[in-house]
Amino acid sequence: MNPPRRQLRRHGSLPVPLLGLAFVAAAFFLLPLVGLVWRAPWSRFIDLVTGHDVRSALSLSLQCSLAATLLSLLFGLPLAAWLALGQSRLRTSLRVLVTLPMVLPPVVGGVAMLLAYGRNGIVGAPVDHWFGVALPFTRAGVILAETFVAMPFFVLTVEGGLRSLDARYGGAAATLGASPWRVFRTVTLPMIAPSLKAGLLVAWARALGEFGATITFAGNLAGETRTMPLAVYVALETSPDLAIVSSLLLVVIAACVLFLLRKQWFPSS
Amino acid sequence: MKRPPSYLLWFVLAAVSACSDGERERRGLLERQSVLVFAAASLTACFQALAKDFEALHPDSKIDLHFAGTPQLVLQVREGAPVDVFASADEANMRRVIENAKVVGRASVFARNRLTIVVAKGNPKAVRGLADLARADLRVVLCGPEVPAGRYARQALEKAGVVVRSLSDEPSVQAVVNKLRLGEVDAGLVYVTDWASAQEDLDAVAVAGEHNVTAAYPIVSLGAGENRTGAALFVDFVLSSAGQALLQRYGFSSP
Amino acid sequence: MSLDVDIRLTRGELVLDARFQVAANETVALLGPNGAGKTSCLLAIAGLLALDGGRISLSGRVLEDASSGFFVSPSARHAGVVFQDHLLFPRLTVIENVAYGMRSRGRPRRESLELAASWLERVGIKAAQHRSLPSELSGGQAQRVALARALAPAPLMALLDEPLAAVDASARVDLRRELRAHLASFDGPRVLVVHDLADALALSDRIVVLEEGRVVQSGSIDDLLRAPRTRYVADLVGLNSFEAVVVNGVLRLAGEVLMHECEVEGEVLVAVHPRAVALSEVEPRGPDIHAWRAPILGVETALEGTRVQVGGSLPLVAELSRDGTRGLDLRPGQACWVAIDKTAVRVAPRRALTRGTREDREHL
Repeated sequence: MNPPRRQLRRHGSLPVPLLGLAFVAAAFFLLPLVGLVWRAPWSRFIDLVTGHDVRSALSLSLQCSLAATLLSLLFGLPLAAWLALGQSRLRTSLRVLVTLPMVLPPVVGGVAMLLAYGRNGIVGAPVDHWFGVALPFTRAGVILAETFVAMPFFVLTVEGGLRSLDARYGGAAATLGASPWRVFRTVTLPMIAPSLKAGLLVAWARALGEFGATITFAGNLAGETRTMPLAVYVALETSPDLAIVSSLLLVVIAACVLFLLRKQWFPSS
Repeated sequence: MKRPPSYLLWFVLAAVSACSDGERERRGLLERQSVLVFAAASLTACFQALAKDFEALHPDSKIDLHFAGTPQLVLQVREGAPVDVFASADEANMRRVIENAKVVGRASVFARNRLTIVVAKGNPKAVRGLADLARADLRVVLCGPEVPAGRYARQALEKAGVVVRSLSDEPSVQAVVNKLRLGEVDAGLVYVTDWASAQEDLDAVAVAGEHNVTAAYPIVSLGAGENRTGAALFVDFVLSSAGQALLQRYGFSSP
Repeated sequence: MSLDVDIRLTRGELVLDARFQVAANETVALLGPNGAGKTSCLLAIAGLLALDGGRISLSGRVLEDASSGFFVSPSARHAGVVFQDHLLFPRLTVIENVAYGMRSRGRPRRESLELAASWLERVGIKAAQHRSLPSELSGGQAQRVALARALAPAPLMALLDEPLAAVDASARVDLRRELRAHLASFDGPRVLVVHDLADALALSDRIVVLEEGRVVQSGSIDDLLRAPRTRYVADLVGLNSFEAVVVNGVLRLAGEVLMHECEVEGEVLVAVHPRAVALSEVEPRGPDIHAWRAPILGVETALEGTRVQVGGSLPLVAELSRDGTRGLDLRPGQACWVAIDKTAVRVAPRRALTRGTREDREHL
């Protein structure tokens, strides 16, 4: 009967100016993707995508970003818990420290990692000397570089979840005889599951797209350390078509994963 | 396929760079003609000096310099950057520009460069020549084959019959130099000019003349630009004896 | 087996300094205005708030001693706590919530779940709801589950914080009765935080009144009715009250002598039941009558009779039977004679509070 009014009601109480700005923001993200799709050499798409270089870069990217996400979970969760629930005075400085890799240009982060974990680095030198293990130019180096850049996103997301948690639940569990470890495992973790999932997702996405720290710290060797973003960068200089196709592939894979996980990760939508 | 108009982006970029140009503001009403020069990253230091000297000679002209890896510059030229002068690190990339963009006149080689092995100060691993780069105890990096320096390096190694496993295809000679400075690798192959600017930290080991490859740097003025007179003047200056003398100071040899 | 509590702690504005005892098989209701420190008391007993001073012991076993710094962790105090808002773990099912305490204490999973099921049956939660999440329960059901969760691990004391607050009026009566039965079958000391006198009366053996962090009065409802020690207690039990001072046995109210031979000296609280207040058109006379003229402020008709609010120097409420209102002009603004029966006046030493004491004195 009255389409405009129905429309308005469907949008709820979002005012029109906000809606307009939201539309601009959505378009801002969409148009570069449209550009990629527009310029992609569709006739050669399959040939380019199934090339050996693309496949090896892609599998490397998936493995390393997954490993970096797991490392972020393993070490980032305790760190987030300490930041959110600990009593130490160091927490504020620590939070700043964790945020730094987010503002640091990744290339600079890569150089800093070389200074610490490189062959002549503060930690890298003794490790290399005693164990003969050097991280730069290895797959482990890629994982480390990606973790360095991705973990802060995980830590801050999870810390936010932990902070908004009602601490009384922990107290309730304690009166029921639960040890701190059991409280954390059975009460805290399930209650922060949404922010845990969001943190994992953001960290994974960040690791998948990581470029600067990886190329600086781990180098750029096909099949060993050349992840998808590095392959795109190299292709940009030799074969722009391949670069576009590779970028699209990366975007499509990430979009598929997000879509498949949407129920578990964004339960409300 | 029709390309989307990208001149809008360049307009914005130019406007931003003009805004930040304090010198132009100080000069007030005297509107100077600017020349946009795209030059290979390995030319950074000497082209900055060239631009300064040129501006001293032609006070009504202004050189806007933009440096990047040559392939990236080619991509940007292809996407319609309003470039007046393009200076490439190799002839292959110059050919791609000539194929994809309108050029004015012919490209001329203005400088030549040669490769050298760079090692840590004091040459702790006792590298004596290209053949040593195949040693198993040596960590070597080269530029990627898409970068001119990387292609030249591979040509030189091929001539010498040496098979080298590069730990990484570095994106630029600067990245190779940095990895050496950090002690991450033991040796790399870069241009003589790159070593010249890193002499305090690194030593060079000469590449035998018969194996070495000469890199030719061509320059051309492009039709896409808005200042053909200025472009021609700048190209002439680079080729002039004054320009050549300056290039030699930076380690380049004359064509 | 008794619970001995001596709590001193500061928490924001609240300065808690409370001492009381709870015998085995006794239910004590902690009653008091908002912010009096009732919940803090409970949390301190449970070990969730640390003491600044004092000590807590359960049947002789010290749980916490601030002077020596000795502290038994909440998980080792064996307190069955029902929290405000229940605090059922939102991601665990109902039966897992109830089994949680037993699992924490190392009971096998199967056994814990069986016990939890029997407890749920006992509190009246249907088997169909055992696998529900707490968010799917009504307020009354959540309350029952919380009680089962607290009592299932067989704690040594029961601590219940406003157990009926989140329950709507219709379910309240049933739940109150059930809760009473469950408390009766639990043989340790029981502490109950309530703010409703009806709940306190129905569920507890003794009432401990907390005001501004201190115990102001403790006793049965009869004790409170007989001699309320603060205006809050008097209000709570529905008495008119006035703060006054007795000097040499003489009690004055609003400048007039009310009594000559008062048994208590100093600061006192004078309490008068609204039924002991009479209103009349003519001045009442008699040996035990104290009367004055005052304006009527408001009239409220209740089931039991009519409650009349009177202003003037001694504002109070009179509760008149239907007969008692006959012949009276009870419109607000009208003046009438107010009479109190001196024999019905209760005088008790007033419990001075840290704050407000001086101002109260200046009023009189």
